[in-house]
Amino acid sequence: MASALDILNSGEVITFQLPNTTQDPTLCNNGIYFTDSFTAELGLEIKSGQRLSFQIDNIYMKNFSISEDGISGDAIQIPDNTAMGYQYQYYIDSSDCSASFVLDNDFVPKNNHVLKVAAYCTYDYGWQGTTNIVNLEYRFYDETTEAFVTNPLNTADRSIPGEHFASIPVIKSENCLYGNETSSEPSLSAFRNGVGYTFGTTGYARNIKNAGFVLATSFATNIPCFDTQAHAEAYLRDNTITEGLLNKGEGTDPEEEYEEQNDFWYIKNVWGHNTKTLTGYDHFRNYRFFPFTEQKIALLKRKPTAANPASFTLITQFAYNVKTAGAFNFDDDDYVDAVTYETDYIKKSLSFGTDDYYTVFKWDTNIPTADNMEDIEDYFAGRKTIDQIATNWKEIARQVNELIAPDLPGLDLDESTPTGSNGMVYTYGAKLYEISNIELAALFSEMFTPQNLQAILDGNKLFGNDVFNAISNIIYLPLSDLSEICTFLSGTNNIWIGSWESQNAQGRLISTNDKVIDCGSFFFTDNYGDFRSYDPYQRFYCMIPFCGFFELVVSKYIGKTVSCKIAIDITTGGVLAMLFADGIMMDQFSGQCGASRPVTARDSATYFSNIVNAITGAGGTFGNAAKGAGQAAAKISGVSSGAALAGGVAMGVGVAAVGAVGGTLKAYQIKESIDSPPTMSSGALAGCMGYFSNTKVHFIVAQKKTVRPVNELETIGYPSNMGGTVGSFSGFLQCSAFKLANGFTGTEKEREDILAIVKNGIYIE
Amino acid sequence: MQLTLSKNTKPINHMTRTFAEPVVVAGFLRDGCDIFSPQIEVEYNAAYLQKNYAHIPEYGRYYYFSEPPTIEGKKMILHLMADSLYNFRSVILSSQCIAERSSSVYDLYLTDEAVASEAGYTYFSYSLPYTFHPDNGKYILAVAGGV
Repeated sequence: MASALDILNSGEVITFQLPNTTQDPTLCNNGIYFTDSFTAELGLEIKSGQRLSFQIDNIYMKNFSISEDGISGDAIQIPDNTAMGYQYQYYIDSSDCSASFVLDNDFVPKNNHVLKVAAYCTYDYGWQGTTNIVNLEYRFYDETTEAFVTNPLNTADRSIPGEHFASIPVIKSENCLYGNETSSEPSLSAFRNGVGYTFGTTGYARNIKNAGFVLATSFATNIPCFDTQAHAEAYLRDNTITEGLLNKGEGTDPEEEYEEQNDFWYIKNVWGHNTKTLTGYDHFRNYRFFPFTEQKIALLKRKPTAANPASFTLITQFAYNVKTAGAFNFDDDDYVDAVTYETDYIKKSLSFGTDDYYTVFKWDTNIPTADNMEDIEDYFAGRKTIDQIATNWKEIARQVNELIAPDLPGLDLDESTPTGSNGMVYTYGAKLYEISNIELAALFSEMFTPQNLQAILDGNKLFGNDVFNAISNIIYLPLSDLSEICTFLSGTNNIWIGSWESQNAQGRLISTNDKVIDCGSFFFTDNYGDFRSYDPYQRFYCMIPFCGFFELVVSKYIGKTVSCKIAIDITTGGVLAMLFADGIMMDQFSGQCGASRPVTARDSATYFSNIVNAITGAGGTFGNAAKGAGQAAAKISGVSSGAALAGGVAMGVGVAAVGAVGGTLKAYQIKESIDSPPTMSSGALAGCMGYFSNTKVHFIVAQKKTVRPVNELETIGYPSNMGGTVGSFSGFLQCSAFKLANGFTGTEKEREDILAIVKNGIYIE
Repeated sequence: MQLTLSKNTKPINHMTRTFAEPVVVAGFLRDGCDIFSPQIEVEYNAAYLQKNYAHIPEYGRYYYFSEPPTIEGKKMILHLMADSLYNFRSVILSSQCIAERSSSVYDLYLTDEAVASEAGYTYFSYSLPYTFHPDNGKYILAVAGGV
């Protein structure tokens, strides 16, 4: 009994090799069965995480049929309803033992439908054997459950004449079966889901994602075949061949290298040609596809097999023929038509049939070439971009003028900008309390009560008996809940000033200032899809509370998710706003949101003096205003410059940092910050003034109203700057440069005439 | 010489031509003319006034009428201009070029001077959800001391 456990990888077409026929199948009607003459090529596509195996035992059959879930009218529209009901019958000729079948053009299997293969005998004498006809089983390895799902088939007694089914699941609904052996070109319906398939034994389109299966006479296989089911399951589970591989050396070993692409390769039957003038000789094509259209094509590298050297398969999506997905020029023939047929890219060393059309494929192609079908599927589905899947991305980028990310040896391209956190702890020595207005009033009331005076003085001897020397800062922050930026010790605590403990006022003791505020995000849509989405046709501004109003560079953010995070230093009220595009920090701005609350008359005088100076322009600029306010805040509250540095400089880079720690910066640094373009207004506002401005992060998009003629494309086209032969363009073409090809037999005057004409613009039908 | 007069409905900056109602006539080149912009003298025939295109096999070229025929007695003078675009269409189609503008291959992100813009801008404002609360804020009290 021939036995092979074969594995389908996604999108892979597998074949089985069975021993040669030893018996005349026509003899089966006498109860003498033939054996080992059945070969099935399976083109199923398997879901990610699943693999499929088949076990084929003895085959005794004359005819085949197929159905879906056994209900013909539901999915398979097969017109030939014979005595077998819904089944379409196939006769296996005794001479070549080949069979093929055709599904209706409109056939689209439903998700997870099961295709069934039946082998049965329709000879008048019926079956007289007692053993199985076809023994197929399929199994999946479910990586989620780490278990095999097995569906043994045809284990029933085959001694009864009639139908015997083996089930082959069609995994994905979009894997449409399609068959039309007689049509000269694939039907559009086959491509509507980006897939299509033609059954047959003589070379029909397998250009699309694979689905279904093909019967044929004999094939070699590069599907790993194992001696035992245990070894096969080990391979399925671990994806590594350890032992028991029967067909090593036939392309099954993962270590086998792809053949080098150092030669022209042939595309077999890629170009259909109405007049068939391409048959039998080489036609060179420089093929270019349009990489950013809805229609996508890609090449799939295939490992070499015993029968074929390394090859490539063209996979298409939404492309009725190759021409619709790209453009090409050619050297030696007027191209008439192009239709995608056979899509195996094979080497010149292979022989072609008399009806095969082939053309040399130059490997300067910009068709994205991937190592595996999964990448191509992801590319087609939009989950990955060309640059992520194509091994020849740099060639593509050069040819289509796409950007290539700088290759900086030793550095990886960031997917996001890592940001830090503040680990400073405030629970001992100098403490920070979150305190409400009511609690603050209670504290002051208790402090200013005469009966408490002695206790307060005693408690602040370390500070010269001056309680206000122990209060280093009282700052107001515009947050209703400071847990958005701080971590607290649990519960509320009596407030201590020096060694004096308040009995009336409580606050939450802050442990760390370690959180940033996530203000939210949005996707900045490229609404025009052209140059009008960018400056100066579209401008982009943001207004960040307590920081200012800024113009942003549109190209940093468009087509990306824009997000904003704000950090606040609780010791100074300094603000750092960070803008991200797809997780990459693109801009950061700083400001001041904390307002110091004066306590003593001396503090108040200094505080208000600075504010007045700022407002009246004594400081000269917002920056200086902020500086004044910042200095006031620092001085009044007694915060040392070192403490302010810890809070301010470490976070801020702009004007607000100047405000918070202005005294520590050099004059030229201040001026540079203030003069930095292109901010429209920026920096901290003195005192509480910032509280009267915007309380959310606002974005403003300014657009110019443009007028584009509705018939512009057909009349004068769009800007191009693309190169190619004149014949590779269609419609209107206006050339900025033109190089007349060899073979021109006209005069110089005519050459100049042609140059003037193409520079003025021509229409190519 | 023999020439074929016909009616072409395709503009001369198109790559194709139509040759409707062709008629073969006899004519000769006027003295002093070149084959790029020849003047051909033919017998007067009012039907020729409906033609706008000519093919002169002897010159191996197609011509369009550069201006209406003039009539001199019983003769008509055809003012022709070599149709360089059509005469050399094959070699033109296979010639390399750089497209400044195109209907088929273009880059939408190149600035298009054909698109006009009105003065000024229209502004659209959007806000992220997070809101500060300066009217309901909290104090931070920083003190030295405590146990």
